[in-house]
Parts: sequence; C-alpha cells; structure tokens
Amino acid sequence: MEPAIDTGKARLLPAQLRRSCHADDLSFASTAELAGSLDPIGQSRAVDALKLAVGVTHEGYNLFALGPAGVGKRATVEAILRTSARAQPRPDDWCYVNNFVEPRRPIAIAMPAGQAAKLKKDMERWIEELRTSIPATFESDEFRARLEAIDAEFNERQSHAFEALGEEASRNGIALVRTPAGFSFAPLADKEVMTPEVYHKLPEEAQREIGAKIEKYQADLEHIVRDAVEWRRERADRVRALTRELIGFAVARLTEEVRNRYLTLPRVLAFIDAAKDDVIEHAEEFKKSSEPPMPMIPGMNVRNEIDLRRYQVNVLVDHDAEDGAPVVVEEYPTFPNLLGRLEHISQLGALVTDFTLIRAGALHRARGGYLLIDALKLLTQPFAWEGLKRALTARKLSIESAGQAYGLFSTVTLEPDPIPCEVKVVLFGSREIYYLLSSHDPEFSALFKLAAEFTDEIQWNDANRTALVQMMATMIRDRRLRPFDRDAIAAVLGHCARLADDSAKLSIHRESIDELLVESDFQAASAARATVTAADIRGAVAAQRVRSNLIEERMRESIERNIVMIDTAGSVVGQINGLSVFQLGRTRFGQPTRITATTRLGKGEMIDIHREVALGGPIHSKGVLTLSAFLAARFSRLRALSLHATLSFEQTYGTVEGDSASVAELVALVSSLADVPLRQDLAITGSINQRGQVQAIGGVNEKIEGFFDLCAARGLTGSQGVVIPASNQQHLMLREDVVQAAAEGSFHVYAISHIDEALALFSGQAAGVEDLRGEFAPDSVNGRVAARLAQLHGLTLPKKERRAPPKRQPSNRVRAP
Amino acid sequence: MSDATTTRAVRLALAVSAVRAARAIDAATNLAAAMHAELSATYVRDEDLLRAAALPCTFEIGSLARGARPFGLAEIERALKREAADVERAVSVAARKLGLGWTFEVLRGRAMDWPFERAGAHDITVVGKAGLELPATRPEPASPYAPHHADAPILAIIDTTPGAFERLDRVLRNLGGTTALAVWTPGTSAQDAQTARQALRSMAMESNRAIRHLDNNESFSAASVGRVIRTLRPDVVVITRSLAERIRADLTTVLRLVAGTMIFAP
Repeated sequence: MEPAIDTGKARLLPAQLRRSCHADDLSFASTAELAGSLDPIGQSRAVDALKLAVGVTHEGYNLFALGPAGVGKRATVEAILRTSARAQPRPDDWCYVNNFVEPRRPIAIAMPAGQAAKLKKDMERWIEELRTSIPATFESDEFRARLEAIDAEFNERQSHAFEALGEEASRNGIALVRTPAGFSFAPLADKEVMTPEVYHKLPEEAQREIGAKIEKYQADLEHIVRDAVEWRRERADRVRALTRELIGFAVARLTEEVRNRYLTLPRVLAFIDAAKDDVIEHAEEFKKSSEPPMPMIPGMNVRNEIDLRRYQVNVLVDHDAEDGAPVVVEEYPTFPNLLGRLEHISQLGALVTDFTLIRAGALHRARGGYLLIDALKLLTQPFAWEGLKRALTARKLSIESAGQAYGLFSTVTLEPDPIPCEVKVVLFGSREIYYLLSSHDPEFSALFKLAAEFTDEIQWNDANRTALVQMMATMIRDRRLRPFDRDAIAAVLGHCARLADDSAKLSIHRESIDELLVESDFQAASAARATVTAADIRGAVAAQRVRSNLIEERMRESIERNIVMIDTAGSVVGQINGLSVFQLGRTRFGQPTRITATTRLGKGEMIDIHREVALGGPIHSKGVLTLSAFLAARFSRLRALSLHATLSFEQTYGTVEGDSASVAELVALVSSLADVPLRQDLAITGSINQRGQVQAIGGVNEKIEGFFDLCAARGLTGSQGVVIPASNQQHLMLREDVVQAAAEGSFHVYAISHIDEALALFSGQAAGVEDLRGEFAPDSVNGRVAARLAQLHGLTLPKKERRAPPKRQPSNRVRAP
Repeated sequence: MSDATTTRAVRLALAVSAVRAARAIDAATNLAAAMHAELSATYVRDEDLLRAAALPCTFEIGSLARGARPFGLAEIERALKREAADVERAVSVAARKLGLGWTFEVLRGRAMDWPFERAGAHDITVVGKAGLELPATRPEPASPYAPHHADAPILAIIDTTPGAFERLDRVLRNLGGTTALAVWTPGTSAQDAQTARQALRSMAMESNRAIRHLDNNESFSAASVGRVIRTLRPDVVVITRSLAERIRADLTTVLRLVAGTMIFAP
C-alpha cells in the first residue's frame, strides 16, 4: 500500500503565510523625522511617457494616463506638468474684437501675455474719451460755423431758385402759390392772384397766353425740385465730409496715443484703425447718448445711444498672472466648457449675441500648455469627445454651440475667427477606457499617441519600501496628521502588501493608503495619542473591515446556522468545500461553498448543473471540461468513459464564474467514483489543467480567511485548514489572527502542485501512482477510480465480452485508436 | 405799466397745417399765458390759394411727386377744412394745458395782413405760415448738431428807435425757452450799434440766453432779410410792428417765400 501524502511537507509554516515588515528595518523613530518626497513611486514607465509628451510638440502626441483609479494618476501628471510648465514661456493672450466689415465674424487677435488686458483697458479709456470729445467737437465754434456755411449755401441756392422763379413769374404776371401738397402757378391781377371772374372775362388769346406761361413755369419748377434733391444730397455729402474731417481729427488725436503702444502688433493696429474709422463713420450717433432715452415698455431694453461695446475688447484668455505655460484641469468637460461658448442676451424677446459674449473654453485657456481631463467624464458628456477630437484634428478652436456644430439650430449667430489649437491634452482614466477607445475609435490612436501606464503596486524591496515610506510621510504632512511611529509605518507597509495581494509587492494605491492613514490618525486621536502606533493601524484596518462586512457576516451566519450547509468536520463521499470570493464594491471576502459530485453509468457525459441552467460562466465551464479531459486521459485512454457525472455548487443561486473550483470539483468527482470519503474540515481552491497540475487562482487570502472565520466561529479543531495551489504561496498576506492560529497549530494552510496531493490530503489515503502497465494500486484512490470505471464500462458491453476487458496500457505507450 | 394792462390779446393767425403750426401755437399760448391775455386764434384760408384753385388754368406740382396735376376748388376746400379742424384741435389742447381763455375762427384772407390790419395797438400777433420751400429741407441727419426745431435760434429784427428794445424785451421775456437769440439791427450807426450791444448784453443776462449780434452794417432790404433768414434758419422771427410796418412791402415779399413763425411785438 502506498503511503498517504506527507501533510507536513505540504503544510506551510506560519512565516510563509504573511510577510511582515519589521520595524527594525526602518531607520527612523517617527515620520516627523522624514522630509517626505513628491517623486512618484514605481511610475517610471508613466513618467517617461509624460516626459516624452512634454518634449514632443508634434501633432498627435497627446497623452492618455491609464491605470487603476486612486493610484494618483492626476496628481502625478499634474505635478510633473506644472513643473515642466514653469520652465516654458507664457503663451499669447487672445482676444476677440469686432469685425467692423462683417460683424458676424469677430476677429481673433493674439498678443504677448499680459497685453490683452491692457488693450482692453486702453480701449475702454478711449471710448470714454470719445464720449466727451466727439460731442465737444460737434459743439465747437468751428464745426458750427462751417456747418452754418454749408447750410446757408444750400438754403441760399434753394431759396434763390424759388425766389428767382417766383420773381420772374411775378414779373410776367404769374404768382407762385403754396398749396397744401405742393405748389401752383396762378395769373396775377394788381399784384394779387386773379379771381376766376376776371380770368373768364379775358379773351381766349390772353387765357391761352397765361396757360402757356404757367406751363413753362411749371416745367421750370419741376426742374428746380429735381435739382433740389441733388443739392440736398450734395449738402449731405459735404456735411458728412465736414464731420469726417473734424471728428476724424479729434478721434485721430485720441487714437494715436493708444496706437503708439501697439506698434509691433499689426493686427492690433488694424483693429484700432478700423475702430477709428467706424467712430468717424458713426460719429453722429454719439450725440444720441446725451439725449433722453426713448420711452420704454417695461421689460424692454431699447438702446438709444450708439452701442459702444463694438469698440470693446473681449479678452478671451489672459496669461498675465501666470508663471509659465498653463496647466488647466477641466473638472466638468462639457462641450461648451471645453470649446467655449457664445452667450446670448434677451433683446425684445429675441436672443442676440455679439463678440463680447464669446466665452473661452478650457482648450483656449490651456492653449500653449496642458489640459487635463478625466476620460470618463469627457465621454459621458454629449458631443464633448467629438468636439475635442475635431479641435485636435483641425488644430483650431472654433467657438460654436453644440446645436450649431451639429446643425440642430439655424438661428443667426456668430462665426468667430478660429484660434490655433496648440495644446497638449492629457486624458486620465482606466485601462478599460483606454483599450475600448483604442479598439473602437480609429481617431483615438492618431490623436493620443502616448500612453502613460500607471501601476498600483511595486516590488517590495528596500529602495521601494523607503520611497513608499517617504510618500506616506508626505501624505501625513500634507494631511496634517499626527506623526506615525515606525511600528505604525511597518504595519501600513504590511497592509500595502495585503492590498497588493502579494507578499512580494507593495500597493501604492494612494487613495487606499490615504484612507488608512487618516483613519489611523482618528484611532490615535480617539485614544488621545500624540503619535499614531501600530495598534491604531490595526484598529483602523479592523474598523474598515467591520464597516463593510455586513453581507459577509450575514452569509457566514447562514452557514453557522446550517441554513447554508457547510461541514467543517467529518468526511463525506463526493462532497468537498470549495472557496469563492465575493466582490461587493471595494470589499472582497471569501466564503466556502459545498461542491458535490454524483456518478453513475452513462456515456461519458459530464453534467455541470450550473452550466445546464445558464448559471455557469464560460471560464467555469472551461474548468469543468478540463477536469473531464483529465479524467478521461488518466482513466479511459483506450475505452469509452462509460460515466454520467453531475457536479453542483450547492445552495448557490447566482452565476458561478471562474475555474478556481476545478480542483475541488475533480476531487469531489474522484471521491464519488472511488467511493472514498473526503475530509470536510478542509477547503480547497485551485484550478486544474489537463495534466492534473494545480494552477494559481486569485483572492487566495480572502478565501483562506473566509474558511478560517467559519471554523473559528464554530471552534477551531486543530485539523482544519485550506489547500491552495503552491504557486499562490507567494501571494499569501494573511491576517495576523490566521497566522497566529497556524502558529498555534489550530489551523493549517497546505500548498499543493498536483491533483494527487489533493486527493491524498482529502481522503487520507494514497492517491496512487500509475505503474508501467498504466495501472494503479487497487487500494489507492486512483486504483478505485479505475476499477469503478472499468466496472461501468463492462456494464455497457455485450454479456459475452464482459469477462475479457481490454488490458490497460501505460500512458507513455498510448497510441491513437 | 404791467403787460396785462397793455396787452389785451395775443392774436394767432395760422395758414399752415397743424404740424407746421406747432411752434407758432406754442409761442402764442406762452405769450398769452405770461401776459394774462386772451388768445384769439384764426385759421386763415389763404386767399391766393383759393383763387388759384378756382382758376381753370392752374395745376398743382407736388413737392415729391413729379409732374403737374389739375386741382380744383373743392379739393382745396376739403384740404383746408381738414387743416382748420386739426389746427383748432391743436390750439385747444395747448390753451387748455395753460388754462387760457381762447377763441378760434376760420377766415379767408392773407395771414400776413393780420398784424397790420386785424391786430389792436397793444396786441401781439403771431403768424404761422408755410413758405415756398421744399419739405424736408431742414438739415439732414448726417449733420447731427445742425439746428432743429428745439434749438434753432430766435431772430429778433429791431431798429434802434426809442422803446424798441423794451418792446422786444417784453416779448422775449415771455416767450420762454433758452434758445439762442440772434439780433439784427440793420443800418444803424456806430453809436447806435454800441448802444444796441450794451442793451443786448443786459437783455442776454436777464433772459438767460446766448445772444449773437449780427452785422449791423447791412442795409435793410428784402434780399438782406431773406439772406439772414436763410442763413440762420430761425425758428421764430420777432419784429416790432413799427419796424415791420415800415418795411412791410419788403417783408411780405420775403416772408412769402420763407416758412416759419413771425411774432409782431406791439
């Protein structure tokens, strides 16, 4: 008889269950002594990508910072970019000014940093001066005198024409008479208009003569009326020219002063000149400002004076106060917040806009620098992602509403000059978003050529440990927490390894570490301690667990009360304790699950009940098929597997996914076939391959702790334990109470590499080794299985063949049928 | 002697539409109210116009429309009747606003005869009439600071005969408004001009008006009056009746051509 497995070899020592950080390894008494460090830890890959993004200004070298949430992507990116930005020149200011030729297309002007605000002030002062100087010019003696001269000449010309005509007509016995709607000519008699009686007494010849005269003067009058229109136009032109000359002189004097300040900026000069010309063109409208406003209907805003806003400067981006290139973080990346917007005001019930109502977006503010956006927020805002891509592709920023951009509205609006889009965009988000965009958006890869991958864990070595401690010291200082003594920091480091689920690594998940530090500080405060100790860390960790373990407790309670049936003692055929991990938000915990197997005569069917009812995930199904293959390969290489087996996760009502229970399922199946009872004081996790090797799984710590907690609740017997894949040994960072129990011999963790080790552990019998003939010892577990399968196969044969079953061949001599 | 005792009535003669008569009505009602005088308003159906309309050989040439069109008496009668009704309404509104006693009648005649033939010795006569000018010959909008109705100057034409300044002053004091005043004392000697300037200065200070003394060397004639009026484009012309009577023929000729409001001081 083969011996059973040597459980002492498989059993792990307490020291193998958790890697501790020893306070002696830390060379400080408390974090108060540490200077701290702002350098990112373990993110060299991401930092290199960031440096490349900063250094390369070519199109498309935008960056996506990807990694788990809470690792400090944004803080790291922002810190690096701000440092780089300080060494870079301040970008130009940008402003919008009126386009006097085509007002619906405001003009964008770039100016050296700080100049835009000055221009705005200069123009405001200029406008104020115009308000007084133009009316003063109009009221000047010179203007009045020259205007009077023009008017006098015009009136003289017109009156002279009428007078001359009137006098000539009068000399010829015809009067020029004013009628309500015009003029008329009538014959005179004794210097008065002739009465009809006198007229009718005139001989016909005289009447005809009068008629002819009247006809002639009428023609002359018509000529004068026509001329008068031309004189009037001429007069208007002369008045306009006078206005241009005098107002032009006054305005030019004011303008020159402003102009001289911007001699090196041709576009500014062009704007100032255009504004000057416009003022001269509309000089008369300045008078209206001194007149009383028009009667207003309540709520109606009617402007009487000239709208002087047309000469204003709308400073879109002002970098005057900045020190280097801008780094802008857009927390709410909507379409307008990114690309700018046109505001409107209500006027007579209609929404109107002008260039002063153009507002900058984050891309404008970040121009010449960096713009940081949360990718998830960006993608969840309508049109924002498309708008950003369009701006980056076109390399220009056109301000328009989303409705306008997508042709949803057709109201009259502005089309401001586009502004060059010279900005480095940094998106930060999860790996899933990055890979989704890479796969599904063809423009993404061209626009975001660089990826800065952030990790949430680092190798646990002295250098990294020291760096992580420095980071903690910085966080403690920034948060104004109590100093942490070195025992506390050692405990935090241990927790970091647990967060990494790996005894060889340390988690650098800033958010989790930050929470632990803050909550530990609270523990210390509650205990009136000036320094945070290891006890406070343990208290905080325990409190975190308690805060989030309601569901876990309820589930365990169900097991303790035998509502969910899990045995932790005794032995049962075809039944084993598997282990599952549940993830609820940020909480993860393990729980045992009863797995049962039944076998009977069949045609090689392996029924996974969960798969049959669509509660089994594909990976779980893969595990079941793999163990089936292993079973067939080991025991039925030369004959059909005449078996019908059924596997079930008892009392589970949700989806079962993953293959970490495949070892447990195989052990249960073998137990059923061999009719060998399995220990119920053990639980097992691990996945199987077709060669019977046990492979690593995830959540090993939680699984062990889940079974430990149940056993502890029922009372530790000293025989209980968990069997894990040997390759998971390096991940062990178990709770200190579990380690303590292992040290006391009341709980055990076994590491195995092959299914036979599991069979031996659970059955307490030798698994059995295949001999050269391909047979197992009859009293071994595998031998029993082989015998049972042969028996089942025999039952499927015709009676005459049942006595001569085919001889088994060693596996290394197997040939294909 | 107070104004109330010397001026019993302000006579208003209008031969113009209500719109164009506004300034004359305004001046007449202000004077009547200030002098506690009765307002006697007349709409004058222009004799020359009615005669012309009755003739078969006459046509009307529109100020804006091209070509001559026949016009008849009935048509003119209707137009004048409508104008008279509008004017009466305007006078009524203005008089009521100031609480004036007033009368209104429609008569046939010539408005320029009123100061000389219808007014009493102490009456002030205000004449509002159209001239022979095209509509909208006021300064164009291109000249925002050109004078318009509200701030056009008042032209006072006076001589330097004894009492002329006092009579003018009495009217101007009660005319209201703060518009500039241009005063013309044509054909006076250097000494008289000096006297006039002093009187004008004190008048300016008392009436709170800016006064401009025009060149006094020019002789008085229809042409010179016309030139001054055409240059200044006064809103109101104020003249003492004694002077007006002296130059009546010239004045009538000139004013036949020029629209506006004439005030004849007693």
